[in-house]
Amino acid sequence: MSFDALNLVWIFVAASVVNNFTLAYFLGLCPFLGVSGRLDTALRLGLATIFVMLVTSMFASALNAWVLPHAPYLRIIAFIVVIASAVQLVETIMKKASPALFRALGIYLPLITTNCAILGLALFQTNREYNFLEGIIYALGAGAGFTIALVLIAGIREENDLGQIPRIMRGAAMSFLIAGILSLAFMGFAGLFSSAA
Amino acid sequence: MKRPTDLHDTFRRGLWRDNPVFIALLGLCPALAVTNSAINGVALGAATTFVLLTASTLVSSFRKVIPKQVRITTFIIIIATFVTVADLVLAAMAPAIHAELGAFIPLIVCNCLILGRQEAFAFRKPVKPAVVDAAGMSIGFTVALVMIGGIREILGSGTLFGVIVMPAGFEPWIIMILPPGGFFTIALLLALMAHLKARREARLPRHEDSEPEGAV
Amino acid sequence: MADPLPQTSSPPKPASSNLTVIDDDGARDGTDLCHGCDTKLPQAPQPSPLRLILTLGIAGSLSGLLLVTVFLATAPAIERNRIEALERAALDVLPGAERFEVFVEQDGRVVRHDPSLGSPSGTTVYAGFDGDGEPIGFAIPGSGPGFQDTLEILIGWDPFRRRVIGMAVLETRETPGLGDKIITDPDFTASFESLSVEPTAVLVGPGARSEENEVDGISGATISAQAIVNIVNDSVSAWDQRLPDLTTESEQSKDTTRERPEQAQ
Repeated sequence: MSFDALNLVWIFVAASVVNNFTLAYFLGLCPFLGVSGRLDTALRLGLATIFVMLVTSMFASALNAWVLPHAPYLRIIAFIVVIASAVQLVETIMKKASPALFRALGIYLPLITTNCAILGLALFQTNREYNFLEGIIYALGAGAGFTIALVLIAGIREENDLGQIPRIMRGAAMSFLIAGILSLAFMGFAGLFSSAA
Repeated sequence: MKRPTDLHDTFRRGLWRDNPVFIALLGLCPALAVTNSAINGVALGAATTFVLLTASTLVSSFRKVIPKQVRITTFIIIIATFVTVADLVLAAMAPAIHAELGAFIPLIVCNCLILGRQEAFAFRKPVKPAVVDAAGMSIGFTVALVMIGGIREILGSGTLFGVIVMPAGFEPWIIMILPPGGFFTIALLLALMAHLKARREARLPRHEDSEPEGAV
Repeated sequence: MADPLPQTSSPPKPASSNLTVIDDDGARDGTDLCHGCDTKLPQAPQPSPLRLILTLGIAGSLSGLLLVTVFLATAPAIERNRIEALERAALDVLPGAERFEVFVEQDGRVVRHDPSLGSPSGTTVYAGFDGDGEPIGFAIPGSGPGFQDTLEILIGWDPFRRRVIGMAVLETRETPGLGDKIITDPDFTASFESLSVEPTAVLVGPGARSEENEVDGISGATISAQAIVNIVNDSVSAWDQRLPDLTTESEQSKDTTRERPEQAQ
């Protein structure tokens, strides 16, 4: 049992910081560049992404268990459809359950449909043969990692607005430079788990 | 003079002036994730080219039949289908490359470049310009991938396409083939593009179309 | 509100085309990917729902048809590639093997796989035999946390001499130039050509190997090397008691062992 718990912790830590989706796998860069200029928008987009990742992971587990063994060639299409539906579902539920939350996050939901981090999550989860519970933990870790990266960059960029940046480095180039330095910093998390084990 | 020039311009636009990666910032995830060597850039570029060409051809051919309310869904079905085809064919014919690119073949579905071209161009234009546009964009994408991959491979491994190009005493900058190297490379390339653009605009304040651009 | 894409990214837009399509506008209008493109679409009358469904239905069926065709056409080659890759790895860790047999884990026992059942599901173990049909050993899988991500390896296990006789890394994301020395370091990999796991295999300093159960360490890749040694210890102890006896060719495995969860899967 303790091994199982340890395994889940490892999945979470590995997905969130050691192999951060954005900083190590380069997934989800489009929204990353678009909205990472402001701290509060970054946080909201991150939360919305965690929601969608959770729902997607559950659907993907179900698909992997029952549908895809019979029709492996439908994998990509099935995942894309699931993601689009998951976004719709989250949108509908949120609208009903918490209009305030919907007003805050709603506009980011369509953006998430084309976020490759979500499809990446479904695919990696399949490749690693995670079960339902492991998939959920993986989704939480990946979503948390995406949010951490987004919020960190947004924070640094907000500060940057006031700084003297060479003209040619303004905008995307600067964001990437910051992302590179953060990615370097996140490499420090490597070995976190195996040295303890 | 009219139509060929138009097509020529459409092609060149994707190739350089509106390069999907460097200018429009589309398809960055794959552009960085697999480009720790030039050959990976070629492979992913080729797969993307296949998908974009077939999708654009189909979307443009059937643009009068597809109701616009369901166009995005139809695009996604078409794109996902051809990505799956590319994935299966690569796995069958070139298992080594397929293993190297891993999950990034399926992730072509999410490449905003492909969906963007369907929506912005193929759905509105006849087949010929749509194909030319797709070819220009995908070659531009591939060139960008190979540039990023080449820079990272030369500095990070001392090789280009697997051939040793650096002098014997060169100690590879391992960081370049690691994730941070990808971010640094694209940041510097974007800065370079911004610099070139600023210089061009300074020279030709009004006309953006007339200047012959240096081919890649 | 989302701010627009950074300045460097927006090219001077010719009026006739929409080139930077997917920017933040997609988020702002909250419906589609290409805000602003709609204005250029011809204003067709609202089509009937039937037509919408029909379009998607036809697109879906054609897509399905194409996929099934391609899948059937490529499936044999893909399966062949997969088996070739596995057997190449199995050959790596079982030197001298010429023929392989597949064993699968079923209900806690390891039994010979019946090829008529199709591709094996679950964890597979390969038994290697030399040209004379004499058994060499098993290629058993193992995985566990490495420095960067989960490491997957294949271990050659000789049940007769009770020695590890080979180790191959199947999947690694360890740092190039440092952690990936677990593949390239000759002393380290040579330690696995005849390694005892009794009581356990231990990692010692680089070049310090003197006992049968010691593995030469790698400077600069201590954690990755230790991870491999851990996986070898765990996998061998997890599998050893359950593996069938190859000499009697009996399918009755010594399956009286405890139900031990297989490491890290």
